[in-house]
Amino acid sequence: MTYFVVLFLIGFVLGVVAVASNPAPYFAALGLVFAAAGGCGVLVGHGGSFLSLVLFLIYLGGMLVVFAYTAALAAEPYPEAWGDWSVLGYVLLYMVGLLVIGGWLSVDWYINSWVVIDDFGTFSLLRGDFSGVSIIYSFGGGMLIVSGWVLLLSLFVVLELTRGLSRGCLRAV
Amino acid sequence: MTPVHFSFSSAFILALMGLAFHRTHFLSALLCLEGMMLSLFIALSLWSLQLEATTHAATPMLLLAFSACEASAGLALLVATARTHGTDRLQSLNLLQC
Repeated sequence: MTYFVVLFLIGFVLGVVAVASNPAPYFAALGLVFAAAGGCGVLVGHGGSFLSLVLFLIYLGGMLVVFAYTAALAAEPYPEAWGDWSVLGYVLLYMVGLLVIGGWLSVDWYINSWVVIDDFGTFSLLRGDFSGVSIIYSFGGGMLIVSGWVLLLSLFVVLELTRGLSRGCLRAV
Repeated sequence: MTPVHFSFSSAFILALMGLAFHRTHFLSALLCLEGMMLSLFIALSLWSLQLEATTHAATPMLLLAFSACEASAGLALLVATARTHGTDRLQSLNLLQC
């Protein structure tokens, strides 16, 4: 279990390195998918399977799909992947920075630093993460209404931003 | 700093550096912003899971809701940029250049 968590953590950080080195947006979205998959694996290893499901569903299935087809606006004839020297320079810079700082911090890590705290005492139907999320519907009712209102308002924000016909924003004329 | 703490902190700082050192496309800067949001989601979820603070399990869900608003606003700006300037390359946003 600990070994899986270590592998998923490494996959998460490498995925974020793949995004941060700024290749063409097609490949950056792919790196973000791998980073989200690694992050979901870490959460599952720690016992938060509902939060991992929410991340996959909303983040990858909702937001990243929108980014993926918006990548059609960023089309270029020769997209730069991580093999191009301009992107590879950033990748090497970030990997060297990670290894240096990780090496400086890892003197305090021992074999039990990676062990996962999970509730193995009882096999209960109620896990901590989704029991906690259901608090939104009782004590967190105000925050539920506020976030619903914010989502509705952002819909109108998007409508105003992309209005066009010289009434939108970012007009060059 | 435990290794898990180091991993999501370094993911946040890496995505922030990717946003700061943006190169050509506006969309890749927005994807770095999404990477920062992902690392914050992992951080808040691990806080709730490792400290067994179950009432804090709602915080990553609310973070996800607000980050969806932010992503939609960013993409609407991208579409508006592509509509007026013809491309989302950052070199074309040069009206204020002297």
